[in-house]
Amino acid sequence: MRCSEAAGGRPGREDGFMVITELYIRNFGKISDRHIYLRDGIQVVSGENEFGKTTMHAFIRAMLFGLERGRGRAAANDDFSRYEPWGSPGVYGGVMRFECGGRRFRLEREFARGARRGSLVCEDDGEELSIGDGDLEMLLGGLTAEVFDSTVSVGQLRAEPGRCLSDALTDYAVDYYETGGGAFNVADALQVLNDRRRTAERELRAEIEAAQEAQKDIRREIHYLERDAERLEQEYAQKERMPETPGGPEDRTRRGGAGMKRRAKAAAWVAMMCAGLAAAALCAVGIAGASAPVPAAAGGLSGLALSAAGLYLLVRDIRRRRSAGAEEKDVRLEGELAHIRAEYQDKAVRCGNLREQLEEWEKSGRQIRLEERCRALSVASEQLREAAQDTGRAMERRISGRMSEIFAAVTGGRYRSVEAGRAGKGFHITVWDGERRIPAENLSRGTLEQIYFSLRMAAAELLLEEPFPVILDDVFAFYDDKRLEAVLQWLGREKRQVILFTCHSREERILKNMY
Amino acid sequence: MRFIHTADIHLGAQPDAGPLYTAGRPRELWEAFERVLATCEDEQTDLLLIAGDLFHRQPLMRELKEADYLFSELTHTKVVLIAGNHDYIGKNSNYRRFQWSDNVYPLFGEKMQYADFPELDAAVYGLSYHRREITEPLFDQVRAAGVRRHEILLAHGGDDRHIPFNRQRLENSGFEYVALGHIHKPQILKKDRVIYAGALEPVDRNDTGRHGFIKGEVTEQGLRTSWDFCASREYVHLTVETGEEDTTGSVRSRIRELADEYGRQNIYKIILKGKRGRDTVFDAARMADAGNICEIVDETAPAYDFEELYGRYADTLLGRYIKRFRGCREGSVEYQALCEGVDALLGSGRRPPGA
Repeated sequence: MRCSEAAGGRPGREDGFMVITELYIRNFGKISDRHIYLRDGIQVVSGENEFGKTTMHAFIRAMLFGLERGRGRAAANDDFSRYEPWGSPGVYGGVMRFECGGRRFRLEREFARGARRGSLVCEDDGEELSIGDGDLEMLLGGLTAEVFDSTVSVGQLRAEPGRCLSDALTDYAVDYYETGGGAFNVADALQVLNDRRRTAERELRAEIEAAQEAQKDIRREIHYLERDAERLEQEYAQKERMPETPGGPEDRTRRGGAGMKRRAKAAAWVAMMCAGLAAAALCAVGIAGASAPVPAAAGGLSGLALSAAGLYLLVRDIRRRRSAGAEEKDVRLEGELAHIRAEYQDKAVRCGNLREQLEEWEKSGRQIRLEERCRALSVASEQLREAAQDTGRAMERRISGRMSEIFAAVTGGRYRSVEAGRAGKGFHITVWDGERRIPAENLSRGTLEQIYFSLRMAAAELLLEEPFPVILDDVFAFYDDKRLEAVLQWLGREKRQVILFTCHSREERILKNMY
Repeated sequence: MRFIHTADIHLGAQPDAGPLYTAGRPRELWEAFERVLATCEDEQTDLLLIAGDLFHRQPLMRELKEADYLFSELTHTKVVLIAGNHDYIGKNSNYRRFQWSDNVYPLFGEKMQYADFPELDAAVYGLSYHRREITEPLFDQVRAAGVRRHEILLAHGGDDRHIPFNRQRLENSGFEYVALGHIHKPQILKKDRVIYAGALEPVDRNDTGRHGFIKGEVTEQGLRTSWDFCASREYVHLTVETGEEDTTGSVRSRIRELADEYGRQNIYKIILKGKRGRDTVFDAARMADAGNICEIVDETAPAYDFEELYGRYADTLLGRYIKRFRGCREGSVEYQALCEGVDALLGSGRRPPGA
């Protein structure tokens, strides 16, 4: 591995500008006990394939933001596991020295479980700072791991197997725009909300079906009761017509004509009267308070009702007795009929009760809550979509100009501008060469990489308060010499440290010729 | 003269009483009813007043026989009852044909009636529901007729659809005591004068608090009432505060402790309130055995500091998303949406291609 600097170091800076000056890797992945010294300007760290540039890149990230073991399934493939020291069980961690705001700092970390610790010391005055209390975060100007990943830490543009690179770039740009920096993924988030809503809807459906099932059971019972009642009605009619009473046809007609329902009703009223009167002291009183009721008169009214009812029963009895030849038989039949009437009545009441139960059926608390949850998830999706579009439009306004400038510079003027944004149904990226507007899918890999680079650099300026070192991990592999020179010249003009990992020697060669 | 005032016994109801007690609950309602009668017998109470809804629905003949048999066993007490909106006297009601024992005085008329008790120098007034809803304020015009020294009104209702009444008018209606039914929560509208006895036993998960009946006694000094909270169980709504550190297990332990403290015989509705860890999901099914729980409502919100997140992510999608929900009330559908969206967004973070 070689480490070289091309653009000469600039004089010490007094602002929040940050420069990484040394990496000391104790044990990290396949690297152990190695010092890398860096200065301001463009620093090229080059070597053969597999010399560990990605490991060093990950080391910088781990030093800045820590390295915690993930939980669950994710843990198997996370950075913590990936970079656990190979072989020797030495200290998992290292040291990073950097300058910031004109002062020098030493950041040391250990990542191993049980031994995890970190220290931050200002080397100018020996002051011990606290990572836990956010001192490092403050030095980094609020830079978070997510923003680091989506701005200054740049790798090659990659597409999932089977997807073309322009689509990958477009997807990335959509997210970048619509999430305001690429720390989130709109499609994933929407998918998660959608999945949750589907689950909630499924549970809601199950809840409703269970309720419907219970109601169906009640309806079924009602149906059975009605059927039974019908059967009883028929039985009653049949028994009533039975010729076992040796009375004349006139007698049968009379009885047949009565019918169970009508008779049951009449009997009920009579019984009610009697029941009311059994409580002998009961009196009816007027509703209006103005004219106080006289209990005697009211009692008399009730008495009248009693006589009427009694008369009816009496007359009925006498007539029946007279007409029936075989009294015993008649009494038995009457008993049977009364029994059927009672049974019919019982079924009718139960039927009515079940109908009421159905009418009063209420949604369960669970159903109400599930409905609410479904609504909340719909609202979330809708609001997220709208917020994404707002964010996209704002990003477009804020970075498209700068992005085009960078793109024009790194393509050596071949293109004037690049545009990204929603048009019609989808999100599109096009470039303008002064004559034609060319869609991303017609561009070469190198040019797509340059759009990607421009996007990241423009966003870094937008999202970071202070210039932060740019870490480029084999980003220029697909650049031709001319554009590589253009991009290095652009980087050289930028006032920031650039750490460039590469397995080619082109960068060093070009930089040597440049300075 | 001594009386007992009870109401809303709801015999025949099948309330949800949690996994342990639901099956036996209908029987418990009968047992409570019998306990009241036992008290009447023990204390040789003069009048048992039932202010409606003795039954949950239209009583079956055998249920009426059962109740009446128990009434008939009372050697001294006379029973006065009215039908409420639940056991209203429909055209097919068994109330219409049932023959009560001699000591039972049903006031089943649609219009105001009274039962006269000369030996007590008392009259008990009342009317019954003949339909499920009565929106007319039937009690507003009612006045004690002055036929006896002690006049009591049985009145069932008090909400918009069930004989709404004017409290003031009822207080000034001239009755010595107004025995109210229909509202399940025991409450005194006017001390020793106008009282909802409340449901004898709680029959709905919202019938929280103590339940029982009223004992009244008329002496030379006037009428005095006291509660007898005899219900065997209570519905208890327990709010359990959660924090970021809580897990299903820790919440379950807390519920178990609370259920021990408030009584294992009770029926619990648990409301989880407060924060929960960002990746915590409380599993209600696993908490269900911590007590006799009929319902667990999870109202917790993930422990996001939305202001802090907004400050950090102001210009990004997350910040803009949070901004859209500014001012929404915690616990509202919007707040739920806010939590869900933030959770989904933070969970969606990914490294860019190539990083």
